[in-house]
Amino acid sequence: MSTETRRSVTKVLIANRGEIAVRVIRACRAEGIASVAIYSDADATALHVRLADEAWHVGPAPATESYLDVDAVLAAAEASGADAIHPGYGFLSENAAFAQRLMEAGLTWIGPPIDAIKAMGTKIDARERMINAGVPVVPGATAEPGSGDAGLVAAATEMGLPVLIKASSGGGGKGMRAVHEASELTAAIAGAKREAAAAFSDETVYVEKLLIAPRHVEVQVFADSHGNVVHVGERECSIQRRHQKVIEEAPSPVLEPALREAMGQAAVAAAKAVGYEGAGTVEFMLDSAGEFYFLEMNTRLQVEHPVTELVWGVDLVRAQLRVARGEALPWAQADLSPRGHAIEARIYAEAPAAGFLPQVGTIARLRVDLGPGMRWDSGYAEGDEVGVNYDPMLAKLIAWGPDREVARTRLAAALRTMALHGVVTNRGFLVDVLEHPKFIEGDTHTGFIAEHYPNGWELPVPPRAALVVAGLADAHRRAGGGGGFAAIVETSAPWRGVTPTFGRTGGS
Amino acid sequence: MARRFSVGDEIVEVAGRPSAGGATLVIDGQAIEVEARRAPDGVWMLTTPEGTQLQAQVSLVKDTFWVTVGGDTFVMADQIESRESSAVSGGLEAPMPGKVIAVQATVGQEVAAGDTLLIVEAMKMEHGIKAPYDGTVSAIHFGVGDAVEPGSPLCEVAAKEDA
Repeated sequence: MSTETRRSVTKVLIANRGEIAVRVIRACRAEGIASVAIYSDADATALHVRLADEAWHVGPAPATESYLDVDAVLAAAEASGADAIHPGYGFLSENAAFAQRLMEAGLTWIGPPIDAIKAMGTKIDARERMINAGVPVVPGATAEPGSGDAGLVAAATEMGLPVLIKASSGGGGKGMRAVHEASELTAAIAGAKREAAAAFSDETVYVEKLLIAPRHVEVQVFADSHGNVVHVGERECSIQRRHQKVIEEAPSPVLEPALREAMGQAAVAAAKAVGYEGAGTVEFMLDSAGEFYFLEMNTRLQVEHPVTELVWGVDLVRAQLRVARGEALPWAQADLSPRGHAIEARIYAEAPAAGFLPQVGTIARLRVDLGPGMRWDSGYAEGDEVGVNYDPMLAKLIAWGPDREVARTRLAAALRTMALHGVVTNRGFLVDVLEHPKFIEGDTHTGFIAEHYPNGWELPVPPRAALVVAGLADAHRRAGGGGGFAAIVETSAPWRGVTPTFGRTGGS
Repeated sequence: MARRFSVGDEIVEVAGRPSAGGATLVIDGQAIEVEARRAPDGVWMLTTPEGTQLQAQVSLVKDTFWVTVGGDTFVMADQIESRESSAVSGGLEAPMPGKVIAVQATVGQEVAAGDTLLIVEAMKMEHGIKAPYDGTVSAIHFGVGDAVEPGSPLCEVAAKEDA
């Protein structure tokens, strides 16, 4: 636990882009402090740059040469006179060396202590700390020292199949293999090691019991430098595609208060075990028997934090700013209680009917009707270009309701009426999942998409009404001038250096 | 001039002219009167001959219409008949269901905008798939005789970097 006194947070550089940079800028405004954006060549006029109080260029379009360039980011901080850095999520957010460097430069790191990042950075170490702290972990094993792959095969066999081979330094599904047959073990271990070595420069792998149809339930924790640690309830993020979350909600449709309390306490114990400060998320797998197991801790703000904010009535990013300054948490555990239900849909520039391939283009029109309880967190506005350099997540649409069904209905209706033209997105697929009978029942698990969409997803055929609209608008456009049809936007997308994937007939 | 849209397996022609209160459209050979008015933010409100009221938003990007109507969004590329179609609409995707009848480029080959890369026969017409910009052919996904679906990426061209 840090005993450090107050730290300076008066001008915050946001070492990120897109919707999370926008989110942090808004928190800075709410807190009455200055915000500094950074941008690559591709983002010179991006939304986060337009909204920040000032913006500094950090390099060319590839993230490795701009947003991930520690020297360039620190130079921007110095040039701008920022006294604190918020890393957002992704990019440098879990990079202990970056945090170390900026602290050495006298800047305030809006994130957890470096030791906590490191402690949760490798899965084998994290598992051991959790076991010691009494937090349940998925049954697992490492190879006996010196026993090599054969030792791992023996450990897996003893545990009983199916198992998961996982990279200790892994993340995002890389270096991970599910094994159902004993004959596949040796090859799976070798494959996981190769992938892990290439992706993380660490070929250490271990074996974990494979849970069947688990739910992904994670707990938001928050700690300050005065020893206070609270949990802010759970989020269920079971709707995933290739380990990428698609729809998240709070609370989980299945958690009873007793289980919520048990998972909350386990998450608090996990945070305490690593001397955590700031916002963090403890991820668990919840099996069909109601047993939960520690998966990993994300030592940063999560993409899906808005559902927690809407249900618990908190501003997690403002709280991050305050805790980084050395203030005590704005809430005690007893102050926190959930109200209603919130669901978030991630809008990706990808084509669900074409293998979810990432898409590019210029956003010709972007209109979302936001009624009560709705929130729109986006890194893009109408007219912006979506390129190939960064994550394809364009925006998050979040709905709150007094109960799950109201939230679900609001979200589906807003997605249905939303116009996002010029870039193919997963919007139609999101509506389909939200209106799936099993989703409506709350019968979700991490294999939901694979189970219910085994052959992918098909575009709907345009109805006659769509032809009528196209013909109507086209007739007026051809008649020219007088109408001034603002809805008709002609753009030419710069395809330079990319392999274009064009939109095609059907729903987006 | 008519627009040609894929609807399922069919191509439907849509043409029309504006009228004072909307438009006269010819869809698949059938003429209809549509009442319509447009709000300043571009939202159309229309009434079909059957009396159905619809709100719609539409964008035209190159030759593709993006239509939001009835709770869904449809991306409708004009299936232009002329040989220019490939260059205009990108050209690296199959324009309609058909068969590859010739491959005229090889992977690694440098091509100039407008060079024919593959020829697809569809609906008894040949469509030249042309390079939309100068570059290098980085992949060819089909061979002669292969059947292709509309929108299938046929080949890929990595654009030449601007100096």
